[in-house]
Order: sequence, then structure tokens, then C-alpha cells
Amino acid sequence: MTLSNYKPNNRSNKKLVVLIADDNATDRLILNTIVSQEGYQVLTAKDGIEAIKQYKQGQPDIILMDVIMPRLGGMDAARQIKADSGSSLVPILFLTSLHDPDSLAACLEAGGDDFLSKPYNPVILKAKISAALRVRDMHQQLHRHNQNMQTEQQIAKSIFDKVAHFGQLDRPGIRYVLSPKSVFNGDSLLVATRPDGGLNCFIGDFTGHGLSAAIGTMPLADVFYGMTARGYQLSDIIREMNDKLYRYLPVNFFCAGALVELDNIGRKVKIWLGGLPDIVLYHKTSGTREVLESTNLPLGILSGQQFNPDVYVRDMTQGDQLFLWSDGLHEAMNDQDEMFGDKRVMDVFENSKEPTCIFDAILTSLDNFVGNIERKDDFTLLSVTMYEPEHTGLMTQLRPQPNDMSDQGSQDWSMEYRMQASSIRNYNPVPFLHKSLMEVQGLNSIHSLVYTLIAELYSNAIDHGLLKLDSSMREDSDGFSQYFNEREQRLKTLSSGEIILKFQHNVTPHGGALTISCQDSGDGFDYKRVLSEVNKQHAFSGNGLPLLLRITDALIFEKNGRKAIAQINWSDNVSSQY
Amino acid sequence: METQIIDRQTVEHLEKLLGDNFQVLVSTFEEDAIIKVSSARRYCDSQHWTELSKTIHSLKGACLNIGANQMVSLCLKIEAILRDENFTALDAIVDQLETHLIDLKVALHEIKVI
Repeated sequence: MTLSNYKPNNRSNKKLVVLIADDNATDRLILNTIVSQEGYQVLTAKDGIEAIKQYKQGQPDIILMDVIMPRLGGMDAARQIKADSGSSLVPILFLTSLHDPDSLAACLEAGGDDFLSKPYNPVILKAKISAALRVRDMHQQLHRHNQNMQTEQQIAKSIFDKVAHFGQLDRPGIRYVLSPKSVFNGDSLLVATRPDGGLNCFIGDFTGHGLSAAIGTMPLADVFYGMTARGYQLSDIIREMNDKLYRYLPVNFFCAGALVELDNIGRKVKIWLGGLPDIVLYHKTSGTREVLESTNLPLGILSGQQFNPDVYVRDMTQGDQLFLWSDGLHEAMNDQDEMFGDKRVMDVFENSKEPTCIFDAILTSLDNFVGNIERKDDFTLLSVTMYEPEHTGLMTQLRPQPNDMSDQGSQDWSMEYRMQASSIRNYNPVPFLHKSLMEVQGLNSIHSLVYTLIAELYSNAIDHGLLKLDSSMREDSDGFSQYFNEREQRLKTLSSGEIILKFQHNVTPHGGALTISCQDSGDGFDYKRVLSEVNKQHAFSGNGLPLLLRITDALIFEKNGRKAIAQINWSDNVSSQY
Repeated sequence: METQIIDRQTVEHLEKLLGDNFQVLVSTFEEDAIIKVSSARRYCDSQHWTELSKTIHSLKGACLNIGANQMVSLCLKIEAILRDENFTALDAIVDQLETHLIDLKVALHEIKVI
């Protein structure tokens, strides 16, 4: 559209209103005539004060304002009108017989949108009014688009927050700060409990920030929550997250991140670190800290075949804290264009005398360094404190909850699942089996318990039956890592062996009974000795057999310890359980 | 060529634009000019330079629009004196302004008759 054929946007067919403010009666008459002939409604004012009054009462679409007027000049009146008009644009054309550049520039600086020199040329006046109204319409259009965009962003953000930050960020032991640079955060923070009661956390930092960065979180969160809920292991989850981002993200777009898996008994942590700044594991009892470096590339860069997750396994006991942050933290700048930097973060650890205050001390140090400067990037800080299960309420989650008994689903049935060496090496059947068992409605109420039972039986069969690992390795403080590494090595080279899992469910007068037997092709073990030792220990003191004994109603061994048979009962009467 | 008291071309444009209101414009201008020249004399005598400057600026604007070019020239001279703060010739120029107002009124009367 050209200027000459532009028609001001006037949807209501109401005449557009032009306010003429000039102290000269002759000028007002001439301008009034020209403007009226163009079909505009005219308001007039003899000075700046009248102009402001007319602006408030008449809400003109455009103002023609003389510069020098009695009582209040045009520039002062313009400043006040512009201040009152808020986000709406009311174009002001200054009428002036001034010709020096400084005076004309002052008109624009006072909020004028254009000026018109005397004597008035009707053709130029009409063209300037049209041009100013066109700018006003474009401004209104832009304002509407901006409002629509903000509304859409708020809706998208509420969906995004439900997906990306819906997890259990309020869980005991979790502290975090998510500092978005814009409406959307390019960092993601996901926390969820596994069916066995353990905890998974993910912190991610996408390339860039805002909507484009945040949108990548959606598929990531989908994988994280879905697979965590089904009990998949860390390596499976991180592999799937990488695959999904590799498929979805454009080139040069990736996600640095860390996936953390805390076990359900407060003893061990597994960490996958890819492209994120170094993280710190702070041991409460010794007061020592361990800095762990990223050993993997960020997510979304390597294909499924190339992706080979390298995972840290560390002992982490009650009160130990893990600190993770996105690069927005150490890249935060102060007014001297200096970065906060790794050293300042590490200094906080060095100087903190009270471990529980480290998180706040990092934030205080950052605030002191940055001051009031606007941050250039999102940053996220997360601390995860290990708690014994009873502190997090996880053990109570293992207890059955009342449920609706009206639809029980599958009732009396049995199934058998056999795995040979190659499957045992490469596949974790627990999520699949757990999901199948959940077809029994009543078992949903004890889903955590069932998951733990299958996982422990299966894990015992592999570890002690097929891999012949010695459980005493796990007793000393460094044992877990060593045990885990040995397990990985032996599992990789497992060439023969079989595990048979049998499941049977029967209806009882007030619920049902699930029996699981797990038989391996190993050499068996002296279960009588182990059971007698377990009975001497405190029942909370670990997983494996002690945990199985705690959560089952009956546990027996056959075939020289190669076959374990466990039974759990569920009931609609919660109080009868345990 | 000597500047006309009132520019004929400007007057023709205004007649065409305003139609019947042209006579109203001429009368309004004449009344306004008389008041402003009178005010200018008073501010000059009392040495109220800021007020004099505003009055002359306003008179100049009105004269520009109606084509009273000789009056515009006198206004410009007064504005220059006020800007330079060299007031020696000011009184004489304001005298000229008053004298010219008489010629302007005659010219305006001729326009009205036309």
C-alpha cells in the first residue's frame, strides 16, 4: 500500500478526531477548514492547558500543536500528553514558524512525531496527517499483536511449566533456583521418584534461551517422566533422551545436562554428566568435596549408535549433597564485564563452614558479584541432599493405599518369563514385567512394592546367581563403586545362563496374593547362613535379602538357593497390611 | 521587485479553500494583528523581551499564513534584534510595525471589497 491511497483504519465508521492547538485564531480557522474538508471531526484549543484538557475529554486520534503558545507551550503540553497516553500512540504534529534545526529537533525530542512549517500547504498537511495516522494504526496493530503474543506465551508457559517443572521439585532434599531470562527458561529441571522409591533428577541447559530453547524440554521431559515412572535405569533413560533430541533438534542445537539417580536406601548415586559445568559432591561427615567433570558430549549430538553413556557411581550417604548448575551461573557478568567464574563458586565451598548453607552462600556470592546488572543467560542451581528413606517418607509409599475394588481387572492367572544370556546382558525386563502385573487393579495400590520385589529378585539372581558377586564387597564405604564396576564388567562378558521368572496371582477373600519365583542357572548360595546373618542385623540396613524380607509376606529358597519364591498379599483393608 | 503587502497568490488559495469563511478569516486576522501590534508596542516600551518575543512570533505565524509578507519581514527583524540583544534599533522597527499595520488594514479592506 502506498501513502497516497492509504485510508486510516476506522473500523467503527466513527469520524476520526483531530485536535488543533494554536493561539492564532486565523491559523485555527485555516487548519479547521482544511481538516474538516478531509472528513475529520475537529477539536480546538488556544493554548497548551486547553490542549491537555481537550485531549483527556475528546480522545483525539491526532494532534496538531503550535510550539509557542501562552500559558503552556506546545512542547510541555506534548510531553504531558505523551506521558498520559501510555502504550497508545497519539501522533503529535508540531505547527511552527521556527526553522532553525535545534528548534525543530527539540519538537521531536518533546515527543512530536513530525512538524509542519507555516505557511500551511494543504496538500502537505493532508499527507502528513495520513502518514501519522498510518503510523498510529501500525502501532495499534503491533500493540495488539504483542498482546496476543504475550497471551499465547503465557498459555504456552503454563503448559510448559506443567510438563517441564511438574515433577517433585518440592521433595525433601531438593533445593533449586530457576532464573529465566525471558518468559521461558532455556534450562530444564526435572525431578521424579522411581517405582522403587529412589529419585531421578535431570538438569538441562539448551542452546540459546527463551521459547526456542524451552521447546526442546518437552520431548525430554516426556522421556524422563515416562521412563522414570516405569523404573528404567539411568543408562536407558539417558540413551532414550539423547535419541529423541538427536532426532528432533536441528543441527547446532543441543542440550548440556546431568542425570542423577539416587538409590532408594540412601547409599549410592549414579550420575551421567554431558557438557554441563563441573559438579560438586559434598560429603557431610568428612567435610570433603569431590569435583566431577563432564565426560560425555551434550544430548542431541551423537546418534544412538555413537552414544555410549559414561556414568559415575559414588557412595552418597545421609546428609551428603550434590551441587549442579548450568553455565549461566558461572558466566554471569558484573558491570566490569567480568564473569562470575568457576573459581568464585569453588571458593564458596572452600569458605563455607556450615554445609547446609552452601546453597544460599552461592546465591549470595552471585548477587554480590553481579549487583543489579541484567543477566544475559538463564541459570539454574540445584542441590540434592541424600536422605535415608524414612526421612523422605518413601518407605510409607511402599505401603498399600486404599483403592476402589469395583474393577479388579485380571484376577487368577500365571505367567512365565525366561531370559537367556544375551537378553540378560542387554535388556532390563523389570519395567515391562511391572507394567504387565499392573493389569491387576489391586496391585496398583502396591505398585512400588511390586516393582521393588521384582527388581530385587532379578538383581539377586544376576548378581549372586549368574555373576557370582560377593555381597560382602558392598559393606565398606568404598565398596559400592567397586561392586558396581565389577558387576558391569562381568555382565558384559556373560555368555551363558538363564533366569526364569514365574508370576502367579490368586484371589483371596479380601484382596489377592502375588507369588513370584525367580530361578537362575547359577550355583546357588548358602541361603541359610545369609538369612541367619540378616536376622542379626537391623532390617533397614540395606537392600537385597534384608529388603526382600521386609517387604514380602513369605520368602523361601529352593534348589540350593538358585530359586527364590516370594509372596505378597494385598487387601482392600490397608490396616491389615504390615 | 518590492514585496507586496499581501501576497495575491496566497490570498487566492485561501479564498478558494475557505469560500464564504474567507471574509471571516480577514476580519479575524485584522483584529488579531491590531491587538498583537499594540501588545508589541507595550512590551517594547516596558522592555519585557520574553513577552515581546512570543507576541512577535505569534504575529509572524499569522502573517505567514495569510501572506502578509512585509509584516513577516518586520517581525523577523525584531526577532533578530531580540536574539542578538542589540536593542538600539528596536524602537524604530516597532514604529515601522505600527505604521505598516495601517497600510495592511488598507490592503485588507481592498481584499474585502474585492
